[in-house]
Amino acid sequence: MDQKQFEDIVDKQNPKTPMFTNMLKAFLVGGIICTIGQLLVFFYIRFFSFTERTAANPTAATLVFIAMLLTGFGYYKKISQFAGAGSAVPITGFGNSVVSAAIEHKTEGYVLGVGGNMFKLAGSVIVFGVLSAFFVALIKTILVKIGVVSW
Amino acid sequence: MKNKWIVILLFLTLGACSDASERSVYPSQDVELEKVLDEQDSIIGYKSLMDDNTLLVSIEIPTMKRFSKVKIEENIKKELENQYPNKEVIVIDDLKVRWEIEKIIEKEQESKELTKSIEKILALSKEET
Repeated sequence: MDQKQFEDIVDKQNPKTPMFTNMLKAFLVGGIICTIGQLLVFFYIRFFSFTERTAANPTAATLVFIAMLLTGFGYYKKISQFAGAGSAVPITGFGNSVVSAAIEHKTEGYVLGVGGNMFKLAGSVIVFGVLSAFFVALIKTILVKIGVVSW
Repeated sequence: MKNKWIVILLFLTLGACSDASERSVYPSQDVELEKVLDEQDSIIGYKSLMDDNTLLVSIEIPTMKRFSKVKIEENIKKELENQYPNKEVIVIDDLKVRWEIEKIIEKEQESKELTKSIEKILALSKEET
């Protein structure tokens, strides 16, 4: 039996991934998180002196904080198991990855364990976030120079 | 039972509710200003305040035209500056400014208070963080 035959057998035996259901769940939960975010934006604009442009900052911070609390109490795990990428892609996923890594390495001590491993997962989020922000800014600069959009 | 849920979900995901965009000018005697703003195709609503020195207009741009938000703001600002050469014209598309103007219109503030409120809104709109 060569490698390919073996893989064919494994593929047949494995249960099929319910792609459509997973996508629907991710869409719904991701949408709900974003709706909560939009409501927070309206809340900060209405009751504090934030404008449409600046309200995104406290909103992101609040969402991350809520996700961190939910992770600590063990509820975010349940949401992630149901929604998959729907709960990982919004900014709440960032809060979850920071706190879950901190909890996981707590036994190794506060400095080398929690401090050293806290950004193990979230580090890649920051790196690729900065990288993609650079490319988006580059594309927008080019589009503005051409005259398709304005700042 | 399942169909009922699908219909409810469809309503929730596809439906949206919003107020009809309002067009109002305060103090309300200025017909010329209304005329200029009504002629603009690129906006769906506006609210404006005017005191002795300043003309503050908050416009509402449709979502898909937001890519050229700055251009639309500048064009309307230019037109209004031609109309009112003695006033400082400010045109902004921002929810906060719109809501603040609504509050002022509801309270029907008089000239001194109005000037103070306009200054406050301008300070808000310049906020970067």
